[in-house]
Amino acid sequence: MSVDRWLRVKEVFASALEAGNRSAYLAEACRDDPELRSEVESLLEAHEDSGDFIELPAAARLDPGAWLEPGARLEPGACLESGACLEPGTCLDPRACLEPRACLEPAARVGPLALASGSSAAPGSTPALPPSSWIGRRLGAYRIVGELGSGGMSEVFRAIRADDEYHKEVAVKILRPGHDTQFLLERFKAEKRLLASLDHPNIARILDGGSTDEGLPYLVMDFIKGQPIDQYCRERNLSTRQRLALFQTLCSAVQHVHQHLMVHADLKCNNILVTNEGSVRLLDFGVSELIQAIPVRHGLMAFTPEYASPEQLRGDVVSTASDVYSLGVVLHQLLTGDLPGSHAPPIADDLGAIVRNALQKEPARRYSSVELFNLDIEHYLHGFPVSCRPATLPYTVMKFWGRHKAGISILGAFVLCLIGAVFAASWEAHVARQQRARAERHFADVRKLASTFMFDLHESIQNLPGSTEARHLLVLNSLKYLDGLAAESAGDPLLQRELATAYEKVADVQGGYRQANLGDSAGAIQSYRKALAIRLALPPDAEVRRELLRSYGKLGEVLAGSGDSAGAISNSRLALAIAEKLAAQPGATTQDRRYLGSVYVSLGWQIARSGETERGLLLMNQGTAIFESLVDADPSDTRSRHHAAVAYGRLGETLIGLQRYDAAFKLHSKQQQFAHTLAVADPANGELRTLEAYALLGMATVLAKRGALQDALLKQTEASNTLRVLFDADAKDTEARYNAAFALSEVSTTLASLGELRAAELKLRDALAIVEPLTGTDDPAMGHARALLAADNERLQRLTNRRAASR
Amino acid sequence: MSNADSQNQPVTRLLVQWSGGNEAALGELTSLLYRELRSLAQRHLRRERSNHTIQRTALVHEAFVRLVNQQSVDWRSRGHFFALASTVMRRILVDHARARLSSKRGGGVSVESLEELEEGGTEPADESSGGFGGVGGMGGGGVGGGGLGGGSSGGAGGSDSDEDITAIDSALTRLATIDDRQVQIVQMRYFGGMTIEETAQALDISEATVKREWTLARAWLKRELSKGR
Repeated sequence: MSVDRWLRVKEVFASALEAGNRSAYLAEACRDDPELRSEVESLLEAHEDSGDFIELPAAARLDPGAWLEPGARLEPGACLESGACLEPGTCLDPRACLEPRACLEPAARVGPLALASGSSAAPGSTPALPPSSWIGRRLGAYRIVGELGSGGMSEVFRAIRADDEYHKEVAVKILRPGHDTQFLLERFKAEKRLLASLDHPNIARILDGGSTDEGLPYLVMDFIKGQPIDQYCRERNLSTRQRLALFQTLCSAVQHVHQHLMVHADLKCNNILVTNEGSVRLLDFGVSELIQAIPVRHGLMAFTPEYASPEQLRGDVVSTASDVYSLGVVLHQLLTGDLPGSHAPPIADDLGAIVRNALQKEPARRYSSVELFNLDIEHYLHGFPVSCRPATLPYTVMKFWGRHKAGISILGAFVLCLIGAVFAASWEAHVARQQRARAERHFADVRKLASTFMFDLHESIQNLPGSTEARHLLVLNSLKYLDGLAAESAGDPLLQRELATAYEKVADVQGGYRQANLGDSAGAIQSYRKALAIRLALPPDAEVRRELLRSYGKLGEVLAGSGDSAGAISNSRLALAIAEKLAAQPGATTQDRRYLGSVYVSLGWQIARSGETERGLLLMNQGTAIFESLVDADPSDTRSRHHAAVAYGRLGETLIGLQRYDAAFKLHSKQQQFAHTLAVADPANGELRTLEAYALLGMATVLAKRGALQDALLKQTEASNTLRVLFDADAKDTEARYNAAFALSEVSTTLASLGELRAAELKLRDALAIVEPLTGTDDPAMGHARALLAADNERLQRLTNRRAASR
Repeated sequence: MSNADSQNQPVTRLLVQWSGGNEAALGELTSLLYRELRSLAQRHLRRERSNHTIQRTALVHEAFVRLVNQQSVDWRSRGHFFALASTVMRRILVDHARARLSSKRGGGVSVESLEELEEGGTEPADESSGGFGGVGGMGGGGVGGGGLGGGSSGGAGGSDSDEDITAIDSALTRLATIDDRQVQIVQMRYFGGMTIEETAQALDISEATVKREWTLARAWLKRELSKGR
């Protein structure tokens, strides 16, 4: 074909796609040119037929998450849980699906719940058959043995399974005659398909469905023996914490519903039962709505007004935000015993703020998801700031204080002392020359004070979530002060050493390796280099050489993080040379051996990343062996244990890359165990929790690879929750921000593989919003964040394409 | 290591030279990119991840972030980079698909069997240790069994098979005789993994144009591929 001809084809093809009446357009445009017409028509046909042909990039085939792998995808409605749907075939039969009970009189509604609260049949209901005539009848495998209640459109009975010896009790819901309109039947069909896809320990299951001899659809569900949640809490006189724990379980069930593109739309205490064993069950999806799939039904009240959100009362579209509102009502009731707006005393502090935030009139001002609602409760329980309160300085400080009372008081005292001391020292130095002796004494005191605080205090708070800003202030001030002192007494080696250490600490905060930092890697490299320059000028005793080793090692890590692989490796090699000598000398300490191990692991990791995988693995194994022998020799050596966990993680990652999944899984499990033990012993240490979360993510990668997507999802969700809490605790920490976004992306990938496109998209959007602020700078260390942003945008587009295609 | 040494500066320098009209820089730049992108793809597959470095992305983006000093290139060089990197990715992926096809035809052994890769001592590491550190890595597509793409199940259904990839490659060669720009767009989108928006930016054309060209190119390729069946 000639180029001119092709341009013509292009033009007609594009116009034909946009034309209202395609064949009329083609007939006109190709009047004298049948060949052109058949060319364009065959292209149009190919276009219609192209589905998602090459929409997925070829390189996505490299993605071990294989998140669009067709085999990994589960059909949401496909009744995969054998127990959840006894006759998969019935899902396709509209008559098998019960009504969503869109009754007009909310007060008359009685669900399976009502059996617990003892409601009786609603007035005004006019069943064609008196309820009693159902007793004794058999529906499929179930025999009806008693009445449980009835609603506007359906009746609920107690039944037992008659065809086996266990006589399992179930609840059977039967549609009343006269309500089997096409509209309702269609809705039952959708409802049952969706319900069958819900598999959550805290949601009552649908067991079966069918239609009676008269052709009335019925639904068989778990029969839950329990009490409404508020009654349960009241009668057992549960503590606030216990009540919150139940409520959190409820949130996870509602979250599950939302992930399946539904809103419950009728959450209330009577729909939430707690069994005698204390397990929460969410019931009655009678009015559940498909998110964004069902048009608004004006005037059709199908909910309970006391719990309904303002938009529900207005008859507007319901959304997950409506469930957030209802959950807010439930929480209010659990905490005060009364509905909001009653005369109950207001709930104090953060809990009150949480409830108020859930009960905002404007949906957009509420928690944007149940997950965030739940997360704030989690924060409240652990003493972290809650998201719904403005992060004013006094509030944040108060929260920080609550968590770290001891640490804070020292910090406060230190800052006061330092300011006072600096002022006093300079005043005395400049004004009171004759008091020189006294000033010098003071100078020594202050210097001691400053270094004590900088080194001891900094150490004690550096892993606390939320401390990044405080550490920054602390080291910056100390640095300024020590800089001044150094100028006054150049040539004092001890002071020079302290100065170098101060630069190192500043670098750690600016962009240090594996710890909370401000994401300024260029600044960090500069400060590390300053420290290095000072140390190189000092007489090289053992202590100075240890410090030199540390400089090279940390520089190596930061350079590796910024993508400068060559610089990283050369610094790590210098570190290794020193570490080997130190560890070989007679007076070698445990710390010297740890240094050697760390350098092996760092260098091995950097070499493996540069492409020489086997050599890298060898080095990392050498390092790991050192830490293992240290832990064997002294099981209480938590530092070595910590290093071992890091080493396992890096080994595991490398092995995953080599597809040696069994070995990788074992390493990540060990990493998880080690990190978990350490984190339990040191719960305030964010780095340990991060380490454990990454171990879970590594394990999940292998699980997903093996097709165990649900297991992978569980682990990823756990990791994601942890990382999210840490990020929320310290928004300044770029590392935590990245980690939170990364974990969400992982969760999203697995959800997408499971076919849960909507939920996957929500997670991805969260991830994007979190990682986005990191990508505004040119800092090379943010390369991974920019890469994640690009990848997530890509995924988002694919997800929306896929969702559009599946509609 | 030559690989590591070349990480930051040479790509930027060569890119600027090439964008400035120095065609001689293209050869060196291409082979450099081939090496870097292939090793990136391998690492991507390995999904290395520490608290620090997590790489999972459109590879050409990652390559850009890693290899190019963004302050020293203008938007034009940026576009050139993505165009070239996508072309290189096409070569890498097609070479790889070919290698897998020939190994399938040859031994009849499923290269994708994970168990085989783990249990046997035949880890793909051999390729990475020898191949990517030094000069030797440039060989034509010998990525072999467990290397690139070994993680994909390559089974039936949506994602394209190795046969599709090689067929798309030859169809693109035919398309190039009538429509260069469409080939470029397909390379960026399909082989480079770039979004419509990014493609539009790199080529300095509107998103609507990219969409229009992409739609037609897809239809054309789809038709070409079904002809062969």
